[in-house]
Amino acid sequence: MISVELFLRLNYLAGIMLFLIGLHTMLTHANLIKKVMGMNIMETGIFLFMVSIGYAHGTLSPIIRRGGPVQGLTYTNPLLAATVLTGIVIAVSTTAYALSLIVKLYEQCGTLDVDRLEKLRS
Amino acid sequence: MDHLAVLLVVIPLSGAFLVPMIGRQGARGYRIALGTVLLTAACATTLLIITARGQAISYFVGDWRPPWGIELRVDAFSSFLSFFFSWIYVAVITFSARDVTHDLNPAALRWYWSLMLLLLAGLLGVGSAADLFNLFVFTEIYSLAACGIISVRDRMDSLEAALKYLLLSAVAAGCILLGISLIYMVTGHLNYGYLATALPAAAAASPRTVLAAVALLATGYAMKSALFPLHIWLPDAHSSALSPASAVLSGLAVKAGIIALFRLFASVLSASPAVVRAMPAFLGVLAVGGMIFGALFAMTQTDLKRMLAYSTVVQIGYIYLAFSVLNPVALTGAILHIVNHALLKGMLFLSAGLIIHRTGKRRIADLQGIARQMPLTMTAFTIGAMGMVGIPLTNGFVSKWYMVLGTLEAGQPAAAVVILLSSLLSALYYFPLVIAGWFGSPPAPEPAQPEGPPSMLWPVLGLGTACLILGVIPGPAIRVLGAAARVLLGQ
Repeated sequence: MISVELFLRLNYLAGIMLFLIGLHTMLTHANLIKKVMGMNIMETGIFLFMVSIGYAHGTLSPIIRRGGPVQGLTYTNPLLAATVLTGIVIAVSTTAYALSLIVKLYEQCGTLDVDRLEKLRS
Repeated sequence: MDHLAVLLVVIPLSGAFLVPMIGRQGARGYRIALGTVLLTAACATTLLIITARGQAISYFVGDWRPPWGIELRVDAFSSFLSFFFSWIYVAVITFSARDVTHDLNPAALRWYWSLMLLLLAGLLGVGSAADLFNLFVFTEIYSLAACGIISVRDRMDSLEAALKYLLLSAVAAGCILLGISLIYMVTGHLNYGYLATALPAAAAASPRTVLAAVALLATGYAMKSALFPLHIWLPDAHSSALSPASAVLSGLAVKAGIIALFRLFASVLSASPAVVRAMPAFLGVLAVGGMIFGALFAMTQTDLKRMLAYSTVVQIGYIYLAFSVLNPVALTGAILHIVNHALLKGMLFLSAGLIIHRTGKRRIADLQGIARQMPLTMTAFTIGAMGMVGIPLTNGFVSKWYMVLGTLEAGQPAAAVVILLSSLLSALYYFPLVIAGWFGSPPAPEPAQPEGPPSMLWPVLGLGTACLILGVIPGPAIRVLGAAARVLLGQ
């Protein structure tokens, strides 16, 4: 049943696709805002991929009530959720910092185009 | 004593938060920063004394043991680097006191101190992290701090350089994070020790996933450490930063990526099959490109700091090339070259900063006869240039000697030839500058003035003395590193 297998793992594929779309946007677009958007798409792709690794079909969220884990039930891996949370914090701060740099550059140069900035510089 | 391993990171991290809180006025920020780096340096010195005989300290944060908890591990390799990094930082912070107050407005000043300390915390953390995810977190801490230090000088070229660095650094971070998650997917571990045991089975079961993960990690860290052809962010970033910031960015920050790769490829991933072991050889080929093309670019530069920045691309190439043969002697040379280049390039950027601070000249053509005004600075610059070329009695000679010996021992004479050739090329862009500085005639006679404030002169001379000491008495360093290199390679 290859098609069902593939359907259950679509999130992995989507993660990698988003990563590549973001990477392509970052490296090929000259507009700085688009580059930052590409960066966010890329990071979202990685986060989707990472939470997918921790999830197995039919498992419960890893909230253990008093009395310890229930025998016979399986839980999703909380390590990756914690990792993704840290990753999101880093991504948010990088985005905020990049946007503030872009605002300053726009105030000083009046353009968001990388090629024009390069020309202004030299 | 075990707590020293975590204090090494916690001290600069808390300093970075203290400065903006209580170091607002006047020189208080500087005093806090200097105190913090001195404490860190004392901590690193103690750690080096403890670990020099090959003993390693493992610290479990919150006493949660691996595989769940966070482990910090300090061995001879990381404590040797931390020792030199933190003492170079002492020199740079001392130098900054006069240089930076000149260039920055008081409001930006406290962010400068804060970011410098944050950068140090990230760098030392990369050396002592013992699991992949903390390695990633520390990598991001130092990368963001490095971008911040460039953009703290609120000028168009600095802002643009910082943004370029930030975006490429984000691409690198994405590659690293995806690589880490692929490795976790196939092994179920992030801790180095557990990873090394779980990897062979995982690599046998899914060789392509492991190969993709390794390639992503290598790309990410090569970009962070400016390996040719991923170095495009470096010349702008390092030449447009403030001079003391350039000294730490060029001397220390680019090395963090190399330290991470040494750790990953030499010890963690070495348990896996031939495809993974082929990755260092691939990096070696890129390193040769960096050594040749970096030197050619350096020769054509007219700006002093840009020339020094391209020279960093060349020296990064040396380290990668020596690493790529995976031989203990060459690895000893490579680790020693990380430190030697940090000392030399730190000193070169600081003396360039002193020249710019004192005369306002940063074009190479304007430096004719500069030695008559600034003999001590030019002496330090000359030692730095000689070290970069690899003249005996300077520290650069010792590390290049070991790199050449190691490549020959590994049966790769071509690599040895490239190292020698690139040294000759270095002479071609450093020596004309030195000769013009000493023997050229200055354009106009300048009134005799003191060479610079002592707080700027002493750090430069101190680093110069350290370079000569490591060049004349390399024995102790070689003994520590020889053992550390064998441990890294698992021999």
